[in-house]
Amino acid sequence: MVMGLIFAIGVITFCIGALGVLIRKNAVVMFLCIELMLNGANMLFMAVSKFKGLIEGQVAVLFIMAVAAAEAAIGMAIITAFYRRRGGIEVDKAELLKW
Amino acid sequence: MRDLILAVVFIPLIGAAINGIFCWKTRRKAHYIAVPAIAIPAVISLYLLVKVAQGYHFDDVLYWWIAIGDFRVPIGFLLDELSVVMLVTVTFISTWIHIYSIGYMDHEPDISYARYFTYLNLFVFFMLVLVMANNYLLMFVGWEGVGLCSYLLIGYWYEKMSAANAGMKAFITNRVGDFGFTIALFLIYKHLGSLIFHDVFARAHELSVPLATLITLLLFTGATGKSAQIPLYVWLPDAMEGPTPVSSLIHAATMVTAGVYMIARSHVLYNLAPFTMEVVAVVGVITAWFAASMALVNNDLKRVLAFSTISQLGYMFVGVGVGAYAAGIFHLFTHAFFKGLMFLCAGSVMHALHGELNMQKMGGLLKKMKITGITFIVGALAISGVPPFAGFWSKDSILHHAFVEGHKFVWLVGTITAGMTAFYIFRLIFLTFFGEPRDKELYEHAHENPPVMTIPMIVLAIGSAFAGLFALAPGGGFEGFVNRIMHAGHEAAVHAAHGEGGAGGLIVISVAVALIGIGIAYLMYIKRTPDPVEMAQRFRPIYLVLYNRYWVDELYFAFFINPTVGISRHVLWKIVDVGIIDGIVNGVARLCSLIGAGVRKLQTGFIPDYAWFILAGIIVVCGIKILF
Amino acid sequence: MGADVLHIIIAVFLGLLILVSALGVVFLKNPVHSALSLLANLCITAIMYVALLSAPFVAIVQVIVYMGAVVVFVLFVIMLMDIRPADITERFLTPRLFLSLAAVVVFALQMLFVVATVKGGWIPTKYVHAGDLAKLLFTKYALLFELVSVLIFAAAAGAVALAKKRM
Repeated sequence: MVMGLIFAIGVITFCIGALGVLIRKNAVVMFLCIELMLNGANMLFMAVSKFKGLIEGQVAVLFIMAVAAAEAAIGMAIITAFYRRRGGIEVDKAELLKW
Repeated sequence: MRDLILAVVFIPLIGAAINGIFCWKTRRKAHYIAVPAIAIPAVISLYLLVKVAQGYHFDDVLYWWIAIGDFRVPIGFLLDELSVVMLVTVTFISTWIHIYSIGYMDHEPDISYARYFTYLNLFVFFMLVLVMANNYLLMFVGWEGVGLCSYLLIGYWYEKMSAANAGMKAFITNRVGDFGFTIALFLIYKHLGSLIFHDVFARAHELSVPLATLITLLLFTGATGKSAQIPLYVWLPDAMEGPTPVSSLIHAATMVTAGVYMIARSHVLYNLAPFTMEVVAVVGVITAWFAASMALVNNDLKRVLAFSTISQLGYMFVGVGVGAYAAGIFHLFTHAFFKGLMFLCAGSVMHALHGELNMQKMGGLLKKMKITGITFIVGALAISGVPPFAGFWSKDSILHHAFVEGHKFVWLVGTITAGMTAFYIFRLIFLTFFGEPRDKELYEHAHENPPVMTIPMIVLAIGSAFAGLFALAPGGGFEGFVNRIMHAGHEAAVHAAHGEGGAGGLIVISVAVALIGIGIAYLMYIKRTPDPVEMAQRFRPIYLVLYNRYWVDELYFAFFINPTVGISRHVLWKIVDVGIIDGIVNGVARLCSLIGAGVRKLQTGFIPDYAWFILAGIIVVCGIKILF
Repeated sequence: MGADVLHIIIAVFLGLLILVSALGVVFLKNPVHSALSLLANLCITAIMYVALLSAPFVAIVQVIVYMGAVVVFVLFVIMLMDIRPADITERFLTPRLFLSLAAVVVFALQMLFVVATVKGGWIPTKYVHAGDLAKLLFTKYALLFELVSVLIFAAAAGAVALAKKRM
């Protein structure tokens, strides 16, 4: 029961994050939503780690955190550069790929 | 031994590869690679000749080239009396012609120069593959390879439309013959289950006579294409568009004789098919006469020699056609010397006169070009059959065999043709080297060529003068040597007949005919009585027929080429290609562009949309995974 | 039995807080508020790790790395960009929202279906300490660990390169 609840919380957190990525235009918020999705995935890892008695899940979470930190550095750098160029952080300002 | 044989065949290929790949590096120095790449095999092949004379034979598989089920074809080489003779001829003549080319191709641009030697080396490689192959398919590889090189070299000056067309003509005409050749190979494989000479000949007696006739006729079709016999001879006169050393090497001395070699190699099959033999002999002699008649009035130095080549090849086919394979090969051997020589001399004249080929503009050149003139005369005497020059021995041997075998008609036409040969070749000599110069300006500029060109001519002239004496060598002479592997049944009968008295009379007749031919040429072109111009007027219809080469080219154009081109242009091109094939191709492209025009709307450039597609994709994949 | 009920109550309580804060991240207009909401979300998640999943070390790392470094870093960037509330023009009630919501709900149902089929028991509290993790991390996953350090290094270099004035 507890297990199911935690799984559900993880899944729903992930999905809310995904929803945020889909509907927000602000690049920083999109980035935050991605962090939210990672957090959701982390919860699932932790839950499985607990219920299966595997420490590996926690190792994976640590790696995800490290990668997320790296991603934050790069992501923020990109957003800063983008802001400087386009005068805003709305992703609809990036339209070079538009057909 | 095996290594030596490999070296002989593959050194020219290595030479070709070096010059071909590094032509931008070798440039002017290409001949430093090309000449040794032929000279070394030439030396080795002389050694091999000695070995074979001592009784050494080689027939081995190097590796299995194709092995599909029962169909097995090796890369394998065969060295026996027949192939070693060809080997020596090809490498020896090639070496000298390579050296000659250094001088002749002097004016070529750097890269072209390397290209020329690449082709020439490649040609020798394929020719050696053809000659040394121990099975029909590998022989066919060489056969096609020399055809390719011939095409490349005829079209060597490809900027010239006529040269490019001549190359195509040679290639396409050869295709017709190759069609027959390949079908013959299929039949051989189907009925004898192998393409290796050894197996084919061992089991040849299993073939029924009609089947053997069919196979040999088809093989002969291939030979008519490659060796320029009626009806496929038309490409050879046009092949003179290539550089003259090429005409000399490929279109006189070596490649065109491949058909004769192939028939001699397949003598076991031909012996089973008397009808084919008859056909070969008759086609040969008619070609000989036909080509000689066209040479009588032609004014183009090289074309006269080309017709002469066709004519001499006709003699070779007479030789193999009457069962005197060794005599045919012997004529091939001597012909390689004197015809190679005459082409080199013609090239020398051309080189001195800046490409002029019209004999009517020459005259009196002997004073300016002593070496060229004298060597040319030696070649002319050889081809005319004046003893003791080379042509006498081999041509006489062929005619003798024809007579003894009972082909009286063939003998008669062959003898008449011999007279015509003597006439036209001395017409050429007299017009070119004797009399008054008819074009002063050309004459003034004429000069003898450097030693790099004259020495090969001298060497070949010595060969033309004395190669015939091999007929007198111990052990049956040249023919006896080749006959060691020709287990022809009736060959013994021929030898028996040899001893009979008639031989002396025949020799006298053919020598007399040759001298008469030379005499008429002397009267007409030196004494001018009867005057050739007047003769041409009096016999105008005949003259025109001969001068226009019987309109055979026009006939072929009307019956084969124009309909083909017409169908190609109006049906295949305008309807099939443009309408159907291009329609399909363009239709597909248009469809793609339509789909693209629609689908590209998906590329909104708005990042969340891409995320949406990713999510949709994941949903679909997970849905499938969950459901199934 | 009593412990189980307690766990369920804790799980429901924390879960609600997590979901509310997550929704806050998505639907608050001001990015600063979103970031603060994410901070809350991460904090509650860390609490859940300690309370329910017996992973105090990961919880601490979460607090230090995620909350202390990443989110604060993001907040810095937001401050740097100097976005006034007046500039924010985003609207949520668009057809895009409903389309996306539909897709996400379908996906959520799929995933819930998947996790519902997971078999396994509830293992009573047994704390995983830093030492246990370290043993794994520095033996079995040593190479991976080093690679991650390389990755972070590369990311740092990349960030410097990207953020330089002249691009």
